[in-house]
Amino acid sequence: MKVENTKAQMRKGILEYCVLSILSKKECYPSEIIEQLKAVELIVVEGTLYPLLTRLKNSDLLDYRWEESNAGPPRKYYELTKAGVSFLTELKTTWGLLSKAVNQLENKSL
Amino acid sequence: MKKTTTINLAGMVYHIEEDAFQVLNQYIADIKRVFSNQEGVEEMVADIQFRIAELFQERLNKNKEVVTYSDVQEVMAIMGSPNQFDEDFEGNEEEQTYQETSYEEIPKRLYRDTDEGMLGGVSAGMANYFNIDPVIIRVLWIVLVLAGGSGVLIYIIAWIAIPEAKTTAQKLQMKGQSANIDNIRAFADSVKNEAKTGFKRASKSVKNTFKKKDNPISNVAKAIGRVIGFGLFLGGILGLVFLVLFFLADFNFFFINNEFIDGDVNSLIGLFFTTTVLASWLIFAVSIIPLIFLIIAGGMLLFNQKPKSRALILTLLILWFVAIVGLSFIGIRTGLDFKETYKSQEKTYVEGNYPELQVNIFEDEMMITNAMDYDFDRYLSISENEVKLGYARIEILPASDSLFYYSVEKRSNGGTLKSAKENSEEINFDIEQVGNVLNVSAKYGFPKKSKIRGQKVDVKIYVPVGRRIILNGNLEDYPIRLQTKARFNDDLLEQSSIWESSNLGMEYKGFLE
Repeated sequence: MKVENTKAQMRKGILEYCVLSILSKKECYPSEIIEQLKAVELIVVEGTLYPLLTRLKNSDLLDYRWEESNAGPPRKYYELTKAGVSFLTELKTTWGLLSKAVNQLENKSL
Repeated sequence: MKKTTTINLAGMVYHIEEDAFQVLNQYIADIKRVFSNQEGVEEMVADIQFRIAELFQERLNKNKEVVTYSDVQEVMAIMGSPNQFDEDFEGNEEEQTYQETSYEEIPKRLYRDTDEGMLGGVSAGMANYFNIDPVIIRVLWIVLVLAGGSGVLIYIIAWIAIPEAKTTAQKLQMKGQSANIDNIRAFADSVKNEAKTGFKRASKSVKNTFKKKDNPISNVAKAIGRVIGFGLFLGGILGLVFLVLFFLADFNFFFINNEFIDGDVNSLIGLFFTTTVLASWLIFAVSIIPLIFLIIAGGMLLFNQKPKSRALILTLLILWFVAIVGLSFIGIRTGLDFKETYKSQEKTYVEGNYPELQVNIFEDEMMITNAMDYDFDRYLSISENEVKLGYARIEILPASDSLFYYSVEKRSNGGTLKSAKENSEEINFDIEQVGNVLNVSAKYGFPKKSKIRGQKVDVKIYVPVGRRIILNGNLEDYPIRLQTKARFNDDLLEQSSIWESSNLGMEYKGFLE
């Protein structure tokens, strides 16, 4: 069993949550999302984000709009839909429970 | 210096180096392939292209207008390989199986490998397919070509039928490598490195990138290939020299199938074909082109080198086929000239009433006294205006007439009965009576312009019953026969011989003292 695989599995689970969380603060275009995810070392390669965004959008959790850019190609700004917001709320609760569970288990002296 | 191409990426125009473009194009195709079963893949790929465009934009400025190969590599490293995108978050069963298959060795496809190929890349492609050394296949081709020439046609069909491996993906598939992004990168890297060093052919290193270890069989094959190559090369050169000598030099005799022929090639060709010059050139082309190919093929095997110009080879090949078609055409036309046959017969009585007749046979105004070891079947000699073709056949038979007589039958073919008749009338043949001696010339001839059209001369000498005929000289091997009661035995012609005519046939009376 490779540690890389397990790490990837763990990241995978929270990546959707993090993306939705970022977008809940303000609408972003992919590069901004990438920037933030990279800053906290949640993604290794940028490509990872795109299938995720597509899936979230296909599930109607995200919507987007186009905006012109001064330098370079136009940008696609993503934002949460109503369904996305409630989805995120649910995830937030779950994450809270999970992180609490993990903390408790780690700190508990046997 | 590198060639660039222009692309439209996310609505922006970018100048990009060609090899970089190849890799990028493949990268995007690869993403599409990996996510092909996901809904909205086009849109996702479009998004990724936007990002790539952005990353390019960061790398371009006033002083750098072109997206380079290393830019593309950097960008691809940032984006990650499509399989990596997958791995990070796709967990369901279906995706897992997909991943597994994408890493498996994909089935090979037969492509022409023009990077490695000598001519059309057929052999190199087949070698890739069967995973053997191309030399082995090339040797097989040459064997096929030499054994009846069927190889040429099969090669051309293969050349047309087998597609060329053009894209990187096809080149990888040809070698049984999955067209995943890592292989493509390795492929592109090796091409690029060679382009940098510039010495060797890029494909060499490409080959090495994916090649399995050199095995001893391949080395043996290479050695055999070299030996055969040397043989072909040498044979081709020798053949070429002889051929050119035959056509250009004025060789006045040579041997064809053990038959002694007097005359150079050009006049020989002129004897058959009405369009002599054309026929000469066609025959020259038909015979010299395979020799050139032999030399090229030998050189290719010997030096393991590509020919410099494929266009030259193609041109030669086309010329060769045209020459063969042309030759067949005039060959058929010439063949039609043999369609009709005409025989003319002329009967002459010997003047005077002699008890015995002597026969002398002359060749080139010399009487044949000893005809041992001559091949009298088809002797051909060509002079300024006349062709002498073969020897008149002589038959001696008894006759119920009271006078000696002889008949000369001249036979010829022609396209029409009229021309056959004209041809037969043009045959020159001398037979002359001097006292009781009949002087017969051995050879018959005809003017050059009437061409060889199956001309033949048969002489029949009729001997009245009870009279004798004396055949002078050793005529054992001359095409002469006597109608005898028993089977004719030509040993009886070893010396001048005496024969007497009877109702049952000619009877041998002994040698002349």
